Amino acid sequence: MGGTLAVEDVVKRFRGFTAVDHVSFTVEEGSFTALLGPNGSGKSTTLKMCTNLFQPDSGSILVNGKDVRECTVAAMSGVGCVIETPEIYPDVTGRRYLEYLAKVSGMTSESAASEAERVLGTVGMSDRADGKVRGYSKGMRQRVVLAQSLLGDPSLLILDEPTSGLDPQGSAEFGRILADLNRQGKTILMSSHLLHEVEGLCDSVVIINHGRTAAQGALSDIIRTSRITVSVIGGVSMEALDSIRGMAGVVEAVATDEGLAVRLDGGQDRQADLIRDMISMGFRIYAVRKEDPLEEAFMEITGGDSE
Amino acid sequence: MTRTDVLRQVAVITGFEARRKMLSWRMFFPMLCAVIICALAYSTGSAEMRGYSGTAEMLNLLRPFVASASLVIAISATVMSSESLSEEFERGSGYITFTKPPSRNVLFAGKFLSGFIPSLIVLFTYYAISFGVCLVLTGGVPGRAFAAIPLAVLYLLAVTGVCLLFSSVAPRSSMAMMVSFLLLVVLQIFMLNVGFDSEPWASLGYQSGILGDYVLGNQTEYTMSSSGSLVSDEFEPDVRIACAVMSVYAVFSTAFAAFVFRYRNM
Repeated sequence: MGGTLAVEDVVKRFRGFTAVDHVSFTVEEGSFTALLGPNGSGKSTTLKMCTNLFQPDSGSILVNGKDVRECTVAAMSGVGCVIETPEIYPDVTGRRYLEYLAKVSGMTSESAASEAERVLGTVGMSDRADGKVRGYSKGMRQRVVLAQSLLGDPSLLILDEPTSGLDPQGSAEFGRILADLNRQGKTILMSSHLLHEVEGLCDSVVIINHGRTAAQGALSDIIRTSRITVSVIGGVSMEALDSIRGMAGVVEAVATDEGLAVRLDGGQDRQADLIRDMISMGFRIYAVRKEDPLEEAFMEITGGDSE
Repeated sequence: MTRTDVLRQVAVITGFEARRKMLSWRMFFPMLCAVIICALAYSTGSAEMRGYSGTAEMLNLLRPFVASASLVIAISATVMSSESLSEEFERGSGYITFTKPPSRNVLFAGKFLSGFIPSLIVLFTYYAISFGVCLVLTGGVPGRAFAAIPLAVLYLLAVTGVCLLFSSVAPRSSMAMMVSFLLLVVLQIFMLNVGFDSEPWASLGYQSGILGDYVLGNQTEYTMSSSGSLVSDEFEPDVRIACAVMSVYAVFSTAFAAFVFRYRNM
């Protein structure tokens, strides 16, 4: 099926400023990889080099084993992209625009029409694609932009904040579409500022900070701890707090106004064990809130640089 | 990728972009200008030529029409071509277009043709109206008049190249169109009507006068000065020099525009 990306020791400078400084990472076939980093960390520049919009000053980028710079057409033929927030020509219909892109990619008129219909169906725009783009909402335009990335059934999708500007419902719908595409076997590399959105979708993470690779690996490896806040009736005594701190998997426990905040060495299983043990200790728990573990890990890795 | 594939891509891009332009105000406005300029040319006394036959009368009737052809061509090229390249960068549609298989050179070729071909239609429409009026009123069209058409096509190539040049470097489409309009249309009208004593022979506006002068047979008339040298009070474009100048503009502006378009970053 294909759908691998290997970025090796890539450097990109703009007028003396090094935007990407020897970045290396790989995206495995079939994975859903999140590319994270603070504003200005080099994420978009990296993705633009992966899609041949920029040329790296040094290093190599291989898509399905083909160098993007030297074998551009062959490398990019299996890639679908959503970079930045492109605007579609307002004076054409979404369907005609997709048919045009399919035809310039080598399809005949008939196959371009059926391919456009297929991708419109994937993004849920079949019924609304015959109006001029100028009359589309933001969400509809983003769907058409995503649809164009699916033309030709690429094995690798490179997406730069594809849900930018969408409302929560639109973002959720987008996430479902992307999850379905990943389940069908497509490899996805996506950058996003919404860590909670990424956490629910991806299985791998690459974190870039100040133009350098700060961390990469499976999501479970990046998120080594989780944090929950437990609200209890009657507060937490010092003895109870000491007991909780001594429980297996508890890294840190701090009393709060409503109960306590606990960092655990693990995920859902550890959280469930803790809650069970607290109930058996006699605590009257009325609320449990899970903190964003990916955000925690991200802040730790990037030193707290803001997103 | 084979040559056939490349030509096919150019054809697809040309067809899509040309269709966009021809179904929009970009086709309506130059056509309207062509019709209005024809009407103004007719109103300068063409009706008085009705019934007269003979080359001199035909040329007299065609005089305002052929003299205004360069203006129609410049307006059409400005409208059709000056936004072609800049819109990809300004609008951001290049983030999609440039990641697709066609190379930027192929895209440029398609955009060039998509601006040139509709302008060619406007050009032929203008000459068709002009020659039609001449035919109806005088019963014929002088053969020399048809020689203006290849000259007009060469001029169109030149102004299309210039418009694409502005489009390739301008940060905004509106700026590209404004600069093209000012230099190719407004300046030309200004030079024609204000009547400066001299105009650089290498300027495209000056050489565009060949579109009228060649048909009308206007040539520079020289006299012998007291020192024995040939002098003239009024220079008219020479067809060979005009063709050379317009060709240079067409080739170099188009080539430079293609170069910039290829390497300009989003």
